[in-house]
Amino acid sequence: MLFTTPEFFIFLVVVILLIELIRKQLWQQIILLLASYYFYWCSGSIHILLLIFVTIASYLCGWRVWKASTLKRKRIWLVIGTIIPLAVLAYFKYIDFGITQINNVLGLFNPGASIPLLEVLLPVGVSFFTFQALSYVFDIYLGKIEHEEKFHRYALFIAFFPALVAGPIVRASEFLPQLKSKISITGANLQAGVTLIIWGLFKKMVIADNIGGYVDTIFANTAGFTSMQVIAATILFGVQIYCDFSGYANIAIGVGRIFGFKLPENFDMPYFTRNIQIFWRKWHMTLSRFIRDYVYIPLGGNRKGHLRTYVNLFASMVICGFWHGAAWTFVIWGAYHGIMLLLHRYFVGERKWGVGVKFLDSNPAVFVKVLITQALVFFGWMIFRANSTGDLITCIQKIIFFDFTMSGAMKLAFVGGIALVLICFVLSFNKRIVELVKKIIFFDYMGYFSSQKVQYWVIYIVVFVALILLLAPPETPEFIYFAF
Amino acid sequence: MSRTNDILDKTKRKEPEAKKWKVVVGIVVGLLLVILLFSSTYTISEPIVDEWLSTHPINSLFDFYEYHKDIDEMSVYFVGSSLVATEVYAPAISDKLYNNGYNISIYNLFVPSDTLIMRSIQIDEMVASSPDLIIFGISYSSFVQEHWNEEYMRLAYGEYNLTPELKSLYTGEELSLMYPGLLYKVEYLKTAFHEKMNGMNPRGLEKVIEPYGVSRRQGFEETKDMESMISSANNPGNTWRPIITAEETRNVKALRYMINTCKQENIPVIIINMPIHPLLSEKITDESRGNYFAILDTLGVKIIDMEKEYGDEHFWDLIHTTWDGALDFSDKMADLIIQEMS
Repeated sequence: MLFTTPEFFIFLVVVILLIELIRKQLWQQIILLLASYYFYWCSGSIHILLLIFVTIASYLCGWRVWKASTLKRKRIWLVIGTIIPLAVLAYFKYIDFGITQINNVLGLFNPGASIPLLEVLLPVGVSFFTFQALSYVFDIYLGKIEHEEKFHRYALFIAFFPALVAGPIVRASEFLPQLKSKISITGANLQAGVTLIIWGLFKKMVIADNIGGYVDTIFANTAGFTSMQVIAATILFGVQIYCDFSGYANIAIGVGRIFGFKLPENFDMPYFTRNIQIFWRKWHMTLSRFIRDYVYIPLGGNRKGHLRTYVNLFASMVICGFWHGAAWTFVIWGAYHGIMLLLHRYFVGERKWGVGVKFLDSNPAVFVKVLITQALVFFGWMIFRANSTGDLITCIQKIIFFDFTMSGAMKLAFVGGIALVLICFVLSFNKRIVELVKKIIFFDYMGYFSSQKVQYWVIYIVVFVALILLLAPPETPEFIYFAF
Repeated sequence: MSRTNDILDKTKRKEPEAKKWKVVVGIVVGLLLVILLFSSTYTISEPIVDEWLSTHPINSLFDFYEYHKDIDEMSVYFVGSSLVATEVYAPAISDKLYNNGYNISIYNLFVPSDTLIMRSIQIDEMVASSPDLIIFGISYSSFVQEHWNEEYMRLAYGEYNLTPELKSLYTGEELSLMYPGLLYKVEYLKTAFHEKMNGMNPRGLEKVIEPYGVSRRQGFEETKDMESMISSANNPGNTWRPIITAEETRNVKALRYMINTCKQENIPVIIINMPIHPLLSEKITDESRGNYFAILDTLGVKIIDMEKEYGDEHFWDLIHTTWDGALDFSDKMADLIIQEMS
């Protein structure tokens, strides 16, 4: 059941009505839980059993960690509580990848020898709900939260349908306290929630889906297109993945907001960041903090010397890349960002290059930094999007050995792009213009629209829903992050 | 403040005093306004949408029939699917006829993935446009293909006349789906525009160049995949090697209807059993072949069997000939027309 289908909205309206009619807290939570399971069953069918299994296993492990009287027992149950969700994730997501790699090695020694692939179907949202289950066990072990006495609340935390299939990755410490009070659908939350949902749908259906076709065409056969087309497709993919993923997050947060739940934001204007370290604080924020708190810090963080810090940073990003999918391109992408973070830490963090230099904090310099950072980020998107390592090599060759073949429209776009960058650079010397632009870019539009009087808010609905119906392509592809 | 609260607080908005019922009413009113906006826009845009859709090949085909009513010339129509598209090269036929003293216009009225049941809705308009000879290019699959392109039926709605006999060939659901609401037309256009934006060949928004169908043959890419052809020919589920029974399918009824309509208007008809690749031909059972020709014999028209006319070297897949094959086939068609017209 996709967020962009009429079936989902009918489902949502029914759930809202049921929650409104039923005033008892326990029954409200049961209904939400059953609705979440129904939602997952529509998306993943038999895999709902897996969701329930992970829920029960992690709940029990969390309880045992909480109850354990000695540190040793705590650690044993922590290990069990870590292994079970990770084993589930490893099997369903990575087993065929592992078999393929083994076959590649076997093939070197004995051509023709191979282990058959299991062709395991990837359960929708497995990367997300396993991580949520892990965070629960970890946080109990770290003493950040107490064990949740009521199982149905914990089950609802794992299965809560807005965030179930593609995040945000919610922490138990954020969500469980919100279940202590009755669900009350207020006018303010309804307005804010619907505003976010419509905005998310616009980003996904109007921007991301219309770009997607062109991107898919180019990346399906990069060898058959010009350098400029590959670059254009890469840039458009960067826009597509942002609009697709942040659009989904908006819808998820908006739906949660309708019920009065505050889910964490996942994006905070990542394409306006001036260095790679800040980028990762603004992109897929809930995954970044998971990796930071449960991988980077336990590995030692920055507390074990410079070299170990770099290793920890690199390993964390490789794991982050690998989390995205069972393919070498994702690992390379993670490693690429690991190297960039590492270099940033070394040169800026330790060698203090450019730190304290007044000019480098000026607006034009910041503009250049943003450009360079985003060029590096978008190059990373090319790695991320390439269908295979072979395709990736082709893409890189296209950039290094630029062919200068451009259609008329492409030439116009290229010249226009350069002109725009130059104009922006010149304008960046004017502080007033920069302040105005910052206000425009960083203005809280969602807050503005959702706080308008209803009679004016209706205009927002009409305009954006009309644009969605008019401009959305006939068939809406799945959200990109459903594949993770 | 902890980082968790930092993140959570990002979702905090200014809390207005909006009452729940007001917001619900606002949502309902907003959606109703959108429906109203679209309804009125759709209604205003219908003539523009129809103008765009008139460039669809199926609409162009009916335009051609209408146009040809007023043309006083000798003409021959070739009717069929992509088999006719690739095998019939109208200019070559015209040239040979002209060189033999015949001034006859040749029209390749192919429709991709055409079936007899879909083509039958055109027959009234086709005969009204007064051709001097109609040549149907069919194959074994023509009797059993249930391929249904509702686009062709819907977009041409209003241009064809469904007689009671024709109506009896369609199911209730098919008849109900023939009518294209404005919403359907707009969605169709959206699909076509989307395809064009993504570099795909958009369906049906190019005006067909006269003489009809010639432009399609030129620049046609031929890439042969022998392995795929062998595999496809050996596949019992391949629709091009069907089992033909003695039963009269609705496609056969449609063909009979079309031939009878032509006879009523004294328009001669020839049926060509089109060439197919030897790999496919050997898969047609004797019983199927026997039933096929037995049915054709009951139609009371000239049947030309060209199934085994060409070898592997003249095919680029199991059913479409190469350019050389097309030229040779066209040459033979010219000879056939000369024979008929003499």
